[in-house]
Amino acid sequence: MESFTQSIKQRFIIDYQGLEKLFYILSEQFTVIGPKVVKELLRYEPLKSFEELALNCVNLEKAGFYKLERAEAPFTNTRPTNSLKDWLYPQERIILEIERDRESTIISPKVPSQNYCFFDVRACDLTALTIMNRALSKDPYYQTLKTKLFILAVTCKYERETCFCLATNAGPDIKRGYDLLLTALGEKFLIEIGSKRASQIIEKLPYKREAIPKDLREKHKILRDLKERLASRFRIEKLAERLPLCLTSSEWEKVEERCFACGNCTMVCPTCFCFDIVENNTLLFKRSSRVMRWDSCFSQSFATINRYNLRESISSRYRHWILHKFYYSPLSFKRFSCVGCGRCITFCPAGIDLREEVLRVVSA
Amino acid sequence: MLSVLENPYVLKKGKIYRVIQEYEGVYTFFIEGQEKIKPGQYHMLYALGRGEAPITVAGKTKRGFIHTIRAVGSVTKSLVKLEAGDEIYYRGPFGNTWNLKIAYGKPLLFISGGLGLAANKFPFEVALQNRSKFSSLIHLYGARDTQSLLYRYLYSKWAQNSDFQVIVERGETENLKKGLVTDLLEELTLHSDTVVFICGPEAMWKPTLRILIEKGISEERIFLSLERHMKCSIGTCGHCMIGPFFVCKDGPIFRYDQIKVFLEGGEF
Ligand SMILES: Cc1cc2nc3c(=O)[nH]c(=O)nc-3n(C[C@H](O)[C@H](O)[C@H](O)COP(=O)(O)OP(=O)(O)OC[C@H]3O[C@@H](n4cnc5c(N)ncnc54)[C@H](O)[C@@H]3O)c2cc1C
Ligand code: SF4
Ligand code: FES
Repeated sequence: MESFTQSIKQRFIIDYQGLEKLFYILSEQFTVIGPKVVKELLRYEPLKSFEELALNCVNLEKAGFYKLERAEAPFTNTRPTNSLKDWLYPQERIILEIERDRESTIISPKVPSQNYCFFDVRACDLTALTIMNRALSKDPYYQTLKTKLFILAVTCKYERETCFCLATNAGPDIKRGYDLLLTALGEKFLIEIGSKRASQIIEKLPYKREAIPKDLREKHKILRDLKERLASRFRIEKLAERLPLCLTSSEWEKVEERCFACGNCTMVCPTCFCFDIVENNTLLFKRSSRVMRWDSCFSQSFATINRYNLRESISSRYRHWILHKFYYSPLSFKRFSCVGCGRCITFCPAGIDLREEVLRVVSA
Repeated sequence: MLSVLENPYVLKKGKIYRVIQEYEGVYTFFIEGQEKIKPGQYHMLYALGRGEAPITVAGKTKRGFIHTIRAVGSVTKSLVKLEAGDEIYYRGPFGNTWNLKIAYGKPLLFISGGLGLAANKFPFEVALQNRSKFSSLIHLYGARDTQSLLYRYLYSKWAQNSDFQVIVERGETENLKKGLVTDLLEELTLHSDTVVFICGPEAMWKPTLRILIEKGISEERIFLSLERHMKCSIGTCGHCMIGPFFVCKDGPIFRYDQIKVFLEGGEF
């Protein structure tokens, strides 16, 4: 991401044709990753054409439930099922290749060369990137991709039952961290510019007009209504202060019987960054790759030393996960590392809703 | 711009110039390499095709540094097969250091259990070199039996300049005391100023901490070295976490009062 200059405050209105043109201008410079329908799921995938971009669909979600339907208006959906870490921090990648001859040789892997444009990033996922930037500050792969990133953010119009970005202070307003910010106002789109290179790109668009105060009022109404609904759905007052007082509460144990420790939640979480390093050997051990692979704090081996698991009970692993998001991260990152995207709620096979769990623990 | 970030996983090469078998399955390696290493820090040692293991630096020599390795699993079993003349690959040093300065002018007490002596050896040797800085220097070391005593060749040298006491739990004692390291601790009269460095298995430090507190040593004067599963050693993989701390970079040494809640809360 190019650094964001507050001084650039241009706003434009484009139409459907303009959006399509914008997509192709970006495609010339970047590998565009955006929401696409794959096997009845909305997923962040590379988009070859504008038609592949899922514009008119709506994802219905609640604990342990997901369904995709067609929508009348564009951008009725919320964030896709997978997160941007799939692209910046892939599930598996080689970090080092070692070859042994008579003379031992060590080869470090090449840094990635992709230029990514993320097309349609919501507030929750944008905040997740700021957390990953810090958690992976020493990861050369992630950092290389990140510096070249182009982000087209999109303001959410509607929330899902699983959304709670307002409670985690991650949305739904988008104030920084984007190159372009799009807000759908009916059939037209408000475009706000957040970086110099974005303004150069917008200059190339033939179909546009400058935004007028009425357009901005429309955007603010969308956000005001959305925030009202989000506020009525879920809030925990003073969570940051209350949670540290509940470290050894017996309420945690109640999740033991329900959680499968499958790790789905950590895989779909946009801020879960834990990984394992495993060896990939060719026969005879002449060549070996060190492979970084996503791991989960829910797995049996995660905290095992000398064949003894320091977090043997599933509830202690669940507690570690929750505390990491809501207690440990604020100590180092000054904010929750949960962004309220709700993916973990939707994709929990046991239908465990972390909001209910946290609420129960701090209310006991 | 961060695109020129150094790859933290790149390995360095060292050469083993001497190997001592301490006892069955435990070997001490003398490695050539000019590193700035502080007592308490560790390296990630790499075994080709097997992976890495965090291993404490058990001292420095003129030519390089020392590691004592116990063969327990895939990586360590492969590492102990290395011989003098072989190359060894590693990353580091990582982690924090024992705060010897805090004990200046005060009594300093080391308590080591089993292989924990490997981690306490380096700071203990530095303390011995600076003996006059401490009002007293005691080291209590407990081992399972006489066959599993580490560094026997150094005891007489260590005892010249400090109160170095050894106790074994079972079997033939060869004139040594029989019992647990906590038995030695119970017998000591401790000044409340004493600074304590502990390294050993959980079964050892739990009762040890209790006795120290009973003897009036405040929690801020007790330091202990923790062991956790480690993969990256740079605070990004999450494996080594205890509460909010990353043992790989915030530790492995912690002041007791700072991690007490998580250490004693169970399964943190
Ligand atoms: C800071 C630190 C310092 C250490 N210093 C020494 C030392 O000086 N000498 C020594 O012999 N041992 C030391 N250990 C323990 C040593 O790292 C483990 O015995 C070793 O990692 C086991 O790996 P393995 O593949 O041989 O065994 P396996 O049991 O096959 O290991 C499987 C996996 O579990 C993890 N693991 C297993 N046991 C441990 C453990 N005890 N600690 C951390 N991770 C573990 C490893 O990461 C490994 O990937 C230290 C551990 C830590 C954390
Ligand atoms: S959590 Fe907020 S920002 Fe994310 S999809 Fe839901 S409403 Fe949009
Ligand atoms: S070993 Fe990876 S975070 Fe500590």
